[in-house]
Amino acid sequence: VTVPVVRPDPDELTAPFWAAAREHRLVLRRCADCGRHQHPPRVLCPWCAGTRLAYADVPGEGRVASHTTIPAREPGGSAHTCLVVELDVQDGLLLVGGVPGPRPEWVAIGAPVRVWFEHVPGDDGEELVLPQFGPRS
Amino acid sequence: MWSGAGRTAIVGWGLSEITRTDPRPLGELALEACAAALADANLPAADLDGLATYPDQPFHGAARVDGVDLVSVGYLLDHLPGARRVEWYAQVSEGMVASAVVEAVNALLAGVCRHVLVWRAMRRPPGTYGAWTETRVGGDAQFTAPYGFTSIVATHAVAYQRYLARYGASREAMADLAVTQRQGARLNPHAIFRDRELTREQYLDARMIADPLCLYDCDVPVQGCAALVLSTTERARDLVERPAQVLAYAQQTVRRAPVPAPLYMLDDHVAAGRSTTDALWSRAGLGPGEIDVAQLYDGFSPSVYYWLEAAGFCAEGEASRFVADGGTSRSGSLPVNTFGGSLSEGRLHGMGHLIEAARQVSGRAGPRQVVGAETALALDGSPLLRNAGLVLGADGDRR
Repeated sequence: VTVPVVRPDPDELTAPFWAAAREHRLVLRRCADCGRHQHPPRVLCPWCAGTRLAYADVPGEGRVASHTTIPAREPGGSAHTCLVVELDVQDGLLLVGGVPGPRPEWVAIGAPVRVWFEHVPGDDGEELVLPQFGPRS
Repeated sequence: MWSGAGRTAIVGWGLSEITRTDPRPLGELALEACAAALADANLPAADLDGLATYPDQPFHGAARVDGVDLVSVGYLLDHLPGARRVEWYAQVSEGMVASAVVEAVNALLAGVCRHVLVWRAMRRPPGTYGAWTETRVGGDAQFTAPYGFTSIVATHAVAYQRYLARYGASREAMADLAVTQRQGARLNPHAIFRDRELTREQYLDARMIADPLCLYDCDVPVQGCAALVLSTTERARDLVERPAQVLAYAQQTVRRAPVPAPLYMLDDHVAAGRSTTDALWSRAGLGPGEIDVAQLYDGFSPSVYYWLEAAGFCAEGEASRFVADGGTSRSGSLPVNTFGGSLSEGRLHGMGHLIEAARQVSGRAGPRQVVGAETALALDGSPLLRNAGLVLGADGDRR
């Protein structure tokens, strides 16, 4: 299990993303004018400057667009691998994921992945639910 | 061709001491570099009437105490000895310090000032450079930092990973680039690694920072300042023998897809770089075949590949071969980063590149001089980010 050192601090614009994750749903803002999704959420549609924007469920399927493995920074620390995933629903729609440790075999450019939801306990008892990506066979 | 081509020039330049850590405040280092640049330009501070910089520090969580963490226009207005008649200034926040040079050129052409001092002061704080100390983060980073995607190195690593896969390029070719640049740094008295050799073996054995980027693919954070003086070409000729004419400038203006910062872009860096280089070629009335030497931003080494391809020095996907075949060495068809680049001189955030371009076309690069260098390209910034660049030319009647 990844234990993030840094936790999200949602605001009005981003809170629905994290709230949906707690329900194991992946939601992204979608523009009613041009129909395109955006991530991260913006106040205007970054494609057409449309203002009719609302969160909508998206299928959590995509492919690994790229990855990098970052070695342990100090003795006793551990490596982690970051994924960049392009969702199937729209070209260029990128989300980041993380895998503890060195790069697993399934992490390769083009590999099909599916979202899953990681529950990360917090120090204050507040649980964080992170959308993550794993292999899709 | 641009009507401003050749009408302004870089007259002189100077650097403070460049170190990994310097106990002296950044403001003091900035004044040291500025005094050196004014002296090099034979310009008394009393005649200086323009100031421009890009002051921000390129790492997460940078503090903003003026004179300590950064050196703003306001700081130099208040502190530069003898500069009592400044009439114009600009402080840019987009497009790197080359954009401050763009502003300076515009001010000179507009006739609102006669000589402009441009500086870039870089702070290296104690501790891990750009380390995250927050436990919670808002903005775009809330979608990346919880996954351990916190560093700008990761940003460049994921783009380079795709580049290597797309073109079947290997890391070995980059060893040639790093080693070649280090050889330039050995001839550069300002370079942080002037006394340290780098071999292919050392490069290939180096620890990874963010795979496939190793230690020697990343520039070296330093503390110091570099400065240059610009004037109209006419006035420049009264100050020095061989000013470096500004033949063109350009800035990256490409529309980027919305992705979580610090991801920026994965595939479009060559196209993004081209928005700058196309404008440079059109304004200078020159093409890549007419450039004698190129100083290409190398905050991370793959940016040199992207720039080589964007500018048209080689075809897309061919940069690693171009480098491995010796094309970018001092005796190659296009000497690149002759001073060591940021990888081996230190992270002056593009100012080192601008100054080396000026040195080369002024015939003042000493043992690094590319014989007969009449034109130089200097690109400041990664193509993935907002960037800007210049084409410089030797002063002469032929233009």
